[in-house]
Amino acid sequence: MSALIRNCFLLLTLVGLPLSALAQTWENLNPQQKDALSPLSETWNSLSEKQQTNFLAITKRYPKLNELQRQRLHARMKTWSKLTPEQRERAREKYKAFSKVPKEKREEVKRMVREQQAVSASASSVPATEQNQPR
Amino acid sequence: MNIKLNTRDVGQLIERSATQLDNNILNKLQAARQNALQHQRAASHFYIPNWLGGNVLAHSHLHLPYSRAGNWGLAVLLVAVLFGGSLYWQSLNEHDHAEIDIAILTDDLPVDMYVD
Repeated sequence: MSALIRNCFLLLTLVGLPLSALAQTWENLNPQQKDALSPLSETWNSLSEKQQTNFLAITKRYPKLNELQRQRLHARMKTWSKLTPEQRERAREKYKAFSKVPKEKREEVKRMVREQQAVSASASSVPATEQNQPR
Repeated sequence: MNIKLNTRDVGQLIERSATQLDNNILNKLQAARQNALQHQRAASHFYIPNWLGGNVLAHSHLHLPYSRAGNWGLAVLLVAVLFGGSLYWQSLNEHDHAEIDIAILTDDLPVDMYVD
């Protein structure tokens, strides 16, 4: 029995060690992966192995996305990569919960967010001098 | 004729009959005993848990030959099952995460809406 445990341990070490070194450098990615992950080109090598694996799984679905979705993905990738694992997990839970909300309610929330974004965008486009003028 | 024998009587009878055996038969019996003992010692190193059928094997006449190769084989099998299971679990997890991550990253709502 002890020999069996020792053998299992040896094998697990032999199999586990090379796997832990599977983290991919940016240079090792193929052109398709580089295209999908282009916003992360500078920070890729510093990402954790788990993060890299998650992003690589996303790249598999990248070809199926339309142009708008690709733009959104690229615009949000950096923000997503900077979140802590707990924040990402919480975001996933929130997304799942929000997906269960009736469609009408979801659309209403989306409309409100769009309006809010439009207001903040127009406010930021107003020159600072104009904003500071006394009334 | 109804003679009742207890275990002690049977033991004495066997001992007495053993003394009457000729040397040739005794030598053969001794060799067979040694052979059986050696076989038992080797087999006892090969442990099979009860839940894997070890209990059944222990009470049957089936003897599994012990060898280093057999032990390594079992170890490889166990590690392969563990490794395969973990890979499968990991791939399920990744698949699940990637689906949601891509949905969040391409959603109409900005990521900030889902982040605390």
